[in-house]
Amino acid sequence: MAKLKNRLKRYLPTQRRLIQLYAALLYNAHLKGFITGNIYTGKIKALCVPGFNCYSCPGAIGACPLGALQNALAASGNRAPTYVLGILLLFGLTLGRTICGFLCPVGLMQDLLHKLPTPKLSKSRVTRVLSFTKYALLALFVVILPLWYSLQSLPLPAFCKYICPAGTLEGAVGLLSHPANADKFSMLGILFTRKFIILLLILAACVFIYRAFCRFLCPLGAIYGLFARVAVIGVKVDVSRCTDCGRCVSRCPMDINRVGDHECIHCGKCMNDCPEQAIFFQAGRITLHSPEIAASAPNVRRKYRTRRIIAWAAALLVLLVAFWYVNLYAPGTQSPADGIASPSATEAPADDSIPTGKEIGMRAPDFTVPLYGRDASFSLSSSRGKITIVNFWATWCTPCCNELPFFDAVARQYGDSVCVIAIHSSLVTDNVEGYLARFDYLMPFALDESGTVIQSFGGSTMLPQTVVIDENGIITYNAVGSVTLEKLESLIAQAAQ
Amino acid sequence: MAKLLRYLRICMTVATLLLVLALCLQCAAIYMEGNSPENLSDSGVHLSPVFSVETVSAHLKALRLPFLAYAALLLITLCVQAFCPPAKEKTKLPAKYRLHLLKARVTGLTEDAQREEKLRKRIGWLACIALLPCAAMTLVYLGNGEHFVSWDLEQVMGSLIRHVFPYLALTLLILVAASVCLDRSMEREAAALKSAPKAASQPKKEQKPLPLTALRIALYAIAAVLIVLGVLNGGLYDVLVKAINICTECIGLG
Repeated sequence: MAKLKNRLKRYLPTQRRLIQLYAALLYNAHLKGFITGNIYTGKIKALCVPGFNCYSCPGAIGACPLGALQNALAASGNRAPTYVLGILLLFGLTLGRTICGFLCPVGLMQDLLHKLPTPKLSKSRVTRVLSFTKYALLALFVVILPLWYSLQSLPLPAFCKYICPAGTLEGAVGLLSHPANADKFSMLGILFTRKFIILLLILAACVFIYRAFCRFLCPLGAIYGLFARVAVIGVKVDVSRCTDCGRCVSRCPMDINRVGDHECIHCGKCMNDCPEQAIFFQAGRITLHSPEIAASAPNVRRKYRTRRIIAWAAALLVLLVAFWYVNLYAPGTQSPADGIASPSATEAPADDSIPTGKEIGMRAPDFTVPLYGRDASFSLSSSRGKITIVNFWATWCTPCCNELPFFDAVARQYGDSVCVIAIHSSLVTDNVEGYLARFDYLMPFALDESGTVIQSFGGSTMLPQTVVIDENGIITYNAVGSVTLEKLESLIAQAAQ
Repeated sequence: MAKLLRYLRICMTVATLLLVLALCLQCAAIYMEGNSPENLSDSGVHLSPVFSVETVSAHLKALRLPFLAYAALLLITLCVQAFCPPAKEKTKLPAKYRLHLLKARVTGLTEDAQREEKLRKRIGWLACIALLPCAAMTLVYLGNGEHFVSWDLEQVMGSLIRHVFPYLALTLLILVAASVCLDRSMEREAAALKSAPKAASQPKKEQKPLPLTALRIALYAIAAVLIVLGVLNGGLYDVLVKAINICTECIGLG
């Protein structure tokens, strides 16, 4: 019986695993999102979570620090990225890579994958060399490319776009797996194929190599690793007790040179391996855990157990409050222009039997929007008799900025026979007129002041969106995703038929 | 039982690799089918979307059996593993660390050990010299702004991969080779030091600690200032806008 009990004990989750699960659940407390297939849009999403968790995941209630950093750097032409840098400094200084070991959902996923019963590749000189790859990725994909393209007015979060497995798994696959987003399959192409294969390769590597992504590729881990020497919370070594036996280093699955260095994720496994009990978990000068506590007098153990129970009770209370707030209470974000009387979407006069709506084959709802740079407005009804292309975009959206030249080319090529209008999202972060002044676009640009125009075409949180309306005001195309010049030409030909 | 578990683990390895390969191939197959000439108009526009719920579910259906087989194999392996005693972890101290420990315990370096130390210095210099052209070529490419002017990011990234990745791979190879040579040299030095006369244990040198508290307070103050500035200059709103909207390309949707 005792033997069986011991065996079963091996499969019980450790405190670290429970904390990892808790963090993953707290970051993704928007359970309603998994049911509706929509992301959370409350104001608390302006706060970054410490771990790696894509903010396009239907459950995410906070911003991903790495995504926020890339976007802040990509927008650094307008304002200094002080908020995100301050947040990263705060997290790094307080927790360092303890975040990787305890508070990262991607770390949890890697730990669980490594549990699959296969032979494992242990650390070696090759993995040690590979562990520096993440610094190269941090420099190139997170800092240099976003900064460089920000000079060219193109926001480019390069790591998110080309590598990030969390974005593919939590964001893309998370959204696509919901039936409500079945129409989004049509926008998938080479980008998804490539990123999905990268995701599969990373997941496969994690089965055989302990935390392969964390060790070799994660730029967020690289950032937090810079705080290894100053982080307040983490595993510390009592130098006076340490005999330099090296057992901690040799048993550690990460590529560390010493406990607590930039590769150490402070998982605390070495605390039990140290024969001198010289390693313990500290927050400043307070010892949170050490092997000595387990062997100490019953009253000391009781004191620590009470503290642990109180901590867990508080943590569960926070989780319950988060569940209640984001699922039952919190209202969605409102655009800054809310409350201002807006021209917005108006119903088209019912001059025939075709219903007004957002679907293909329906009559497009009429709207009036103010134009940028001109003291005038644009009404959809005024373009009746021409094919009209409505493009919903924003300066902070990479594919939107990337495809604007195609819409402008159409406007120049077709002249008066096709009406092209680009409508900026109600969420304005930059000086849009200043942005447009850098280019020589011929087509008119307008602002969807209250967000009702995009809503009337079925859009909400996804950009870019393109709508093609024929001469009779009937929608012939309405989809989220990037388009090319060839695609636009084919859509015009389709609408003309 | 242990032997059975070993075989099962090898089967799991093969099965995992095959399953990942099958998934990659199915994903690539959907993409290739979607881009076949039959699905492209004269102007190169897709007649029907590359991916759709129907095509994806049809391709996933083909993997239903392998998935079930994988799950069954996993279950069997886990059951067998539960009845096997846990294998003892093999631990080997890295050569660098072992050498460091040995050096602290001997009176002086032997001739062989000194020779190895000189050899390691030479290896280090050689590796640096070999890395210089790689670094130079990479920096020349990255430093040329002309390569990053186009908004056709597919072309920019393709060119970056073609021009920079070979040098990065070469760098990696040089580093691994140098690391192997250094490790071997350290192993030889460690063997040579075993015969060296042992020194009496010396008290540890006291290292001057970092003024951590002051440093932390200063950094916390900087973090607070940065956050407040960020809130005031609209950085907080920027993060919110990006977080509550989905940039389709950024998550790989397209």
